[in-house]
Amino acid sequence: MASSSSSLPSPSSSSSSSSSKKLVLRSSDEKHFEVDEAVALQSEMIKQMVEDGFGGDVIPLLNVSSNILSKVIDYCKKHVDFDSKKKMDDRRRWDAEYIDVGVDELYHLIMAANYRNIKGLLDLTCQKVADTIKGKKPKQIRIIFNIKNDVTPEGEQKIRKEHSWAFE
Amino acid sequence: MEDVATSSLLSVQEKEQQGAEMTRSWADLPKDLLERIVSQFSLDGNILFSAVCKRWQSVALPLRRLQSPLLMSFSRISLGKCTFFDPSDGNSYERCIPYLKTKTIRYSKHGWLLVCNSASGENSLFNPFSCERVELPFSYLDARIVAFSSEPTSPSCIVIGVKTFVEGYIIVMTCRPGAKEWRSHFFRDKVQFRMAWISPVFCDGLFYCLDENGRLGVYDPKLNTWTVISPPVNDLPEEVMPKYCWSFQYLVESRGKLLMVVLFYPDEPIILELDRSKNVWTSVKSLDNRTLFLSPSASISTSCVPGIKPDCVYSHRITNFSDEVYMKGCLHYSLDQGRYHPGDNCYGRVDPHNMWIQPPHEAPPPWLAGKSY
Repeated sequence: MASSSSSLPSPSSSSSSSSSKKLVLRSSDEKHFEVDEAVALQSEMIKQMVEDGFGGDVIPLLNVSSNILSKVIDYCKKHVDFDSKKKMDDRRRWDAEYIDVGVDELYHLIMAANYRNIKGLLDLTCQKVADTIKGKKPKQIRIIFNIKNDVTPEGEQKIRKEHSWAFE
Repeated sequence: MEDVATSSLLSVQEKEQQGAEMTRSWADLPKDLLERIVSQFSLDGNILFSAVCKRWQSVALPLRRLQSPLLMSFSRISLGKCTFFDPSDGNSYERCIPYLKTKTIRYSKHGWLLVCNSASGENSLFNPFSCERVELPFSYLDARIVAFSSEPTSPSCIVIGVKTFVEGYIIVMTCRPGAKEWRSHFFRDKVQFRMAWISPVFCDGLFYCLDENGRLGVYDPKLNTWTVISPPVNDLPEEVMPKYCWSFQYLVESRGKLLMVVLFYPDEPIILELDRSKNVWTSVKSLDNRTLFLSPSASISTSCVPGIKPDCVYSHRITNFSDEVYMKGCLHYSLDQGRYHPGDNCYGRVDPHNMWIQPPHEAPPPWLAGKSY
């Protein structure tokens, strides 16, 4: 799994032990993660960085903490393994378990997926948010996501009046 | 050792910071993420979403008015009944529309249908949502394919029918809504144009008709000319195209461009855009958040419709060499994810003449706008 080590030397360009190319990612709290290039390239942002010649160095991910990064790497690893066509059910099941997290973690995952531009993870996280909201009243949604109610009572009353059927 | 200690200390501090930020963070999620989330909802979900906080409201409101195209099916048309399937929430609505009884529906655009009565020769443009009707001149409309350019209430609207007439001629019939008769224009067919069963698409002032060999017949209503072009396919491997024959292709207008989509289940759809300056097809890898709804008689392109996935191709018809299955609902292919998603109630054979229709955004009919969830 995501092997995290606090002081990893820069990878030598001719790594003899592994068959595939590795990249090293650094989280905001200075932890290093060595991952297969194919896994890291799930992120459009990292892909772009590698294309721009960042590949040999440590890639810093300033906005992503190590616990979120290791979770994101789990996702990318698994999705490199999945054969895109045949294992649709496996993939769905794995995704469902993966995304069964609290709203705080979900928030960091969604931001990491957005920042690193990982389309699959972005879809999965947005879907999870949508599913969490679905069928709930505004008040419940505010409690779940810890959102301050800044809609004036009159404003809310207006929405309720105009669209009373949606609130029933 | 030191390193580890510092980093764990850091992460504790960070966690506290994150905790402090959390009160604002969900409300302040980047706009495009909130749009992605809210676009999953149909109208009721959008309304509830917008009541949560001001910022969510500012994102949800502009997306609210858009209605999803509906898949209209005519299997019970002999009883005057039509079914509308809404892919944004999987609901179906059966409506009794007596006017459509015994009629043939040939085409749809901007929420209007081109309706023929092959027995009496009466034709009209009919809006199944408002039940408005615009009469067309009498004709036993035997054109193989028909279309119209814009809303029938617009003075620029022109209706066309295209057919082959004895060997060697193409006839384009045209009329304006409310006109007394059709006008027929004869064009010498020098290239043996073999018309596909795909409705013409009006794009940038021209009607495009597809041929079984992938050529395009272009009718210019202003100049009254018929030209056949044979655009080569750019940047796609040679062997890809010939595998597919015309029956898997669709034409659709999207943001002023003509697109051709080849849907050969379960392969990845091929999407080509016509480059008019060079007359070549170029392949398209992303739809820029638009969604295509494909049927042979009428295809639609939309964006930002609640409950409809962006960068997707929706179709009710699954075809390949061995199979031709029409679905009760529809399935969609996501370009982002590179796979098909089966629709919710997608099984059962239904009338292949189903077609997409765009309900009005501004004043949707009550049965659609006030749907109870």
